[in-house]
Amino acid sequence: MKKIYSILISLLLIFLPLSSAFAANIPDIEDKNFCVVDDADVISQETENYLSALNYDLNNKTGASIVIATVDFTGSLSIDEYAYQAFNKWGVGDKDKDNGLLVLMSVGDEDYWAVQGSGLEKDLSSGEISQMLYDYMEEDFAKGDYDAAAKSIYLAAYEWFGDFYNIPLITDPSTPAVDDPGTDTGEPVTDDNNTGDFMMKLITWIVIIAIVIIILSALTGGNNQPKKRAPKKVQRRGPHTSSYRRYSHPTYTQPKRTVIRVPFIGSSGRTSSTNRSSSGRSVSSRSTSGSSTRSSSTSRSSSGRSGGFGGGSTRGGGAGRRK
Amino acid sequence: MKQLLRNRAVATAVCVILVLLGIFMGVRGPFGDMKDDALVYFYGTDEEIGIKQDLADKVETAYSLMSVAKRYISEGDSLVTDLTDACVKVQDAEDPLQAYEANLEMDECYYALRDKLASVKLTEKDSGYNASLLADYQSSDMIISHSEYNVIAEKINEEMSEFPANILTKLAFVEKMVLFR
Repeated sequence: MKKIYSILISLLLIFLPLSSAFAANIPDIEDKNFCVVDDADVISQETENYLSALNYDLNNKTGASIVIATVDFTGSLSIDEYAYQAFNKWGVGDKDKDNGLLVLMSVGDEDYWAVQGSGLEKDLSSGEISQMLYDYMEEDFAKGDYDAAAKSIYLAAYEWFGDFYNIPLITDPSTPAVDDPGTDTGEPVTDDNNTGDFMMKLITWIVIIAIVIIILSALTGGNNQPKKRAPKKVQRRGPHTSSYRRYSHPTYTQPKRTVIRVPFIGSSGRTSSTNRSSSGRSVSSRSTSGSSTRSSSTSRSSSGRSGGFGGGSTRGGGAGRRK
Repeated sequence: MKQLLRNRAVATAVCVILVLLGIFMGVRGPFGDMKDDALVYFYGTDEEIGIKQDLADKVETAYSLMSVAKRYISEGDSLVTDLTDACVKVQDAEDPLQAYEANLEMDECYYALRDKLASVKLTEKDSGYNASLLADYQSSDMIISHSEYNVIAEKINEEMSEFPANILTKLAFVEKMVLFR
């Protein structure tokens, strides 16, 4: 048994590190009330607070979100692929309306990309995004003024959303109606996705370990000998002869008896069950595979209504810097 | 007849035929089901937009580019007519293979026309259209590349490449699926 445990522990040590899937180096969001993910540290705190206040108002009224993200490099991923993965990882925009917009600036790559949620594809086409980026962002970006570029494109997109949803949006966050979303509300910010993933991994590992233990126990058999059981006395009642047990113990010799077989008069369940087992084999089980494939693409946990990240998704369109 | 059935050669032939038939049906069945799962993402459903619809969006963009192009080059120019023919082929495509080949042809024609326009002096407005239409066109390609169809098709192709499926699928004339990437 000690050997089994040592094998299991070594397997755990080998496989646990491998269980963490390799993914693009997309930063995790700590505070979901912010709509600026400034990994490259090129946007001032003042601009971050201002944009977050505007986004808070937009999000409250429409569920939509505009997220500005900056990175130094996108690494092995192309900028459009990085933006696509980041959008879906962070869940920009409303989960049901998919009305988010992510503007990604890759400072080191000297490139930018904007991708819209799948719910906005028809209304905010990639061509329109391309034009918007060129008109409002290109000049400041080319000069290296990323703070101004972020503010400029945000306001342009913000105005678009206001027109699209036909709602008045604030331009001055100091108005009394707006709550300051930048400060910590005191409520714990939990990332449901990460907690859920951790629990799933933990449960999976527990199940795997349990199965391995059961299999190894069955193979080794342990040191336990099968207990010798005394033959059970069968009381004969009336003319019906109940079945007697055959004992497989090598020292036990079965007494010779004359068996009188009487038709069993009871429920007919025994007969029907054999029919069921034979017909059950012909049932096709293909139908489940398609639905699980389809459902896997939609299984996303929502983090609830928040500043930027409401569980929205994108199909990966968008537009970038004109070359 | 009885003598024929007792003949060893006949028995062997019947056995071989049955085995081949079994392989044919046994391979085509499961792979056919898997391909059907992928085709759902190609044709689309009420809830999910399929690749066919995204290709239709590309065709619309191509026609928009031709509208701009006709202001600078002749309508009968080969670049325009080739693109028109390619668009028609994409619209008429009935299965993924036809759509894939037609899409490749449409891409070639679109970029050829676009490059031609880039070399011509366009108005500011049309220059903007040229750029924004290209963004729309490429965006559709990106959306298509992320489709679940490609994930399933790639998985099917991988399974078909492994032994013994690689031999059995060839015997059963099962073709690999095209990837829209």
